[in-house]
Amino acid sequence: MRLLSVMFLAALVFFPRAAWAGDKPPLDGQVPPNLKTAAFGLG
Amino acid sequence: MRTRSGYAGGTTANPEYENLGDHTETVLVEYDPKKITYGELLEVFWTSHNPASPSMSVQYRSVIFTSDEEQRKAAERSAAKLRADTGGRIYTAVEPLGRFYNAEDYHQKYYVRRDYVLMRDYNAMYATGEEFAASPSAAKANGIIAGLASREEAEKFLPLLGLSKEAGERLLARAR
Repeated sequence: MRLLSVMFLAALVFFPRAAWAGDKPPLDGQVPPNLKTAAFGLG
Repeated sequence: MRTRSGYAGGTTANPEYENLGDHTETVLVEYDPKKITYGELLEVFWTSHNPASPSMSVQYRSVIFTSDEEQRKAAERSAAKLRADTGGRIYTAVEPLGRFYNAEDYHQKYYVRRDYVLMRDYNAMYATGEEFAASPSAAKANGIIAGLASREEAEKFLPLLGLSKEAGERLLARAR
């Protein structure tokens, strides 16, 4: 994430909190309830 | 599948990017074992970085954080096999996953954030950064626009992502 600080301003410009939320994508509605969790650090 | 960037493995409460303490930058994956196995996730892990390279710092180290005994055994077996296959040292640690802290919003879905058309669409779908970060659609779009999907895979998932035609065309242009 070293380069991400460079993206911070862009994120502020492009990701203001939306005043409203629209329809969620179909893929978001297909998530089963019992997901398993995995976690990794990639060096 | 859901993905998040964050911090784990340390004792510092409420870590932030500029104040990580003893945590490690971590990717959290929530997956459906009927669609992808833990072994397949481990294969992606091994091929996504160089585990034979010593860690430069606690912040950036090779580590598998396991959620249960089954994962721990699978991770240890997988590391041992890699060690035997390569004949070299593997610096990857295997540790139990304690508390995972989400990274700041601006770290989530890095490649999608760089595309203003995609972000225009996702801003209209989600009211908060947390909803966006947890979105399976955004996770899939992030992989596609990073150039990791074939055109066939991208076309298969596109109708499920809820994106505009313009955003969809931008994703397809990045498919392999």
